[in-house]
Amino acid sequence: MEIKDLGRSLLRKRGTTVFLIIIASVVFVSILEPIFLRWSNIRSIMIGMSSDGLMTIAMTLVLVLGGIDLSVGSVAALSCVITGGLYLSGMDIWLAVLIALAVGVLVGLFDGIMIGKLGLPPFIVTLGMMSLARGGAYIFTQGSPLSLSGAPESFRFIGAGYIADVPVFFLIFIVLAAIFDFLMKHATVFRSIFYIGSNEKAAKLSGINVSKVKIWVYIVSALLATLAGILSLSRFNVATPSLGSGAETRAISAAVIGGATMTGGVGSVLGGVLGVILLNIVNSALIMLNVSVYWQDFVSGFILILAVTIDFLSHRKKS
Amino acid sequence: MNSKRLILAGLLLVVAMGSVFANGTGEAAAAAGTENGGSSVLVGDPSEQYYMVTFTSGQDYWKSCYEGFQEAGAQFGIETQYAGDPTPDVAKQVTVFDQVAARRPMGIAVTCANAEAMRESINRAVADGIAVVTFDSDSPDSDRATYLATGNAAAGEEAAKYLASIMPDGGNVALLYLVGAENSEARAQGFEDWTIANPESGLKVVAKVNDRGEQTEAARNMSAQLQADPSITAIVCLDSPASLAAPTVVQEAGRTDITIVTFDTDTAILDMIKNGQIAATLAQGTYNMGYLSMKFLYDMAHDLPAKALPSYIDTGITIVTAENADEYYM
Repeated sequence: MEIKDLGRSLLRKRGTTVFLIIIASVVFVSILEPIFLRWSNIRSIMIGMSSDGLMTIAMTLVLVLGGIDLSVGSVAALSCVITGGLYLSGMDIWLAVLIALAVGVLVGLFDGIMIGKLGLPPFIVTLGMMSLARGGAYIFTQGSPLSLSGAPESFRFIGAGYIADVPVFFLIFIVLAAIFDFLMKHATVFRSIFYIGSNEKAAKLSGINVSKVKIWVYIVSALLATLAGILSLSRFNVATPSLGSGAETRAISAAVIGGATMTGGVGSVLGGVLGVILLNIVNSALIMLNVSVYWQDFVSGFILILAVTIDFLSHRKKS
Repeated sequence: MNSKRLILAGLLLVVAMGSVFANGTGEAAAAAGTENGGSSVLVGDPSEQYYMVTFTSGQDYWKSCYEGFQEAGAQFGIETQYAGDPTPDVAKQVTVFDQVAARRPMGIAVTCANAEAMRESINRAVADGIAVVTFDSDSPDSDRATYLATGNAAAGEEAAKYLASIMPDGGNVALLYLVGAENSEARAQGFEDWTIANPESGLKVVAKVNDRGEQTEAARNMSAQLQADPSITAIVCLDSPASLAAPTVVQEAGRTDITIVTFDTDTAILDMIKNGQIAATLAQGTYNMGYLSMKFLYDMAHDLPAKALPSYIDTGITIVTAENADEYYM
């Protein structure tokens, strides 16, 4: 393939536009504020995006399926306080982690059965789960953050440790993103998520067990959110019932910026990762450039709409 | 299949109602004995209900308020209830307040997420004969009887004075808080005004950072601010999510020269004070706010001389450090 063709083929890919916007943003901010490219800043952006990143992988999967998962932030909070609470009651921290993961599986199974088997709307089911999980976190802690001072170093390492000066939390996110991106592109069972999202009836007629796939996708989604909660607990050493408030909207934004649609059948984990990187770069850039705190949300919203519009128009033109 | 769906939908509804109950009204206080059975106006009827309504319900800050409210209620032998929405959302708080008022309690003590947004609801409740006082955050143009608070601006001032006392050479300060929340904004204003009025302190507010009411966001934004301005040597956290995030941010930035002062007395914050991550936290007179709110509500509901009510009560501030932190564990 000639370089020109390769270039064209790359541009046709949805993520390429977002990638180019990220590069342009980094160059622009770095010219105005060179310390933006300092390793310590890049590292702080890495760790800052990791929790949202895990939830963005989850959200991309469910959006491609044609669903939505509004409960990711609340499930993260629930897993965070369950792990913290059980540890404080005297349980081994890793056993507490396993129990939190099991609760995550149950949450996903519940959502999956309601949506996949009974055919209830994902928006309503996960909206209900959002309240249930958040309510559960408040009941479990009686509203007070639980302090985990004295947690084992091995547990602190997964959320607060570094390998070669790169946050472990970020490495876990990137490795999982790479695995899920690969599976979404190459594994037959993950490809069926696209078929269901594009045309559920046709997928069913072609022999795909639609309800089973839906159940599995919601389990995976809840598990990723659970992991985000556990890693946040490890990072902050505090189990907070309000953790992850609003995380679902950030995950949806990142997935959609990365090319996923709200109608299903389209999207990629790599795109979601690029979306979450863009969101975090914009956030960091606004602070770096000393934009007033009262203007930050406004400017951030404007830039994101601009980014999505550029991506959408360039994609439409090409196709 | 349809009947299965119906049963499951029914089950869901029950679970949802349970969740709402858990999020909404909290436990009722046990009514104290009333052996004197109304022989004195200072002994109420156990059927009398008094509510405390807050936003961001469930935080330790409000728990301490409610503890005072509950204990005063027990002294009068009446029933107290706690209600609120777990978010800082103004509209949700208005809804919770309206729902509580619709139950026609004898009195409501409310802290206002937004002064103007709460005004109509408070006025309606007062017109319906419900005694209403505000605490911590006021709605000054409403018909509430009185306002009990430390005064958030005064609390911000106290934080600045304390920081100046432990940083005699001054320093550059970042304020981390929920932008747009009236109590935090007032604390920020009080802090900044004091530093401007006392330039000899050497304290200077160089950044205001939005924690968006959530600790991951607080960490993300504060972390970026520390990168943008390494001259920052103090972080003043004006609410609980900020306070829980700041020590992690400082640690991740590898900084050991940053002093952290916080607000509120969550157990986790007290632990961080004891292990040296936070220098001090400011405890506003939360117990007093609740206790005195209940006392005034009772007085008004029992036609005791309401004209004796002052329009504002200062409930005081305590600086909590490693020396006295143990007294604040709940």
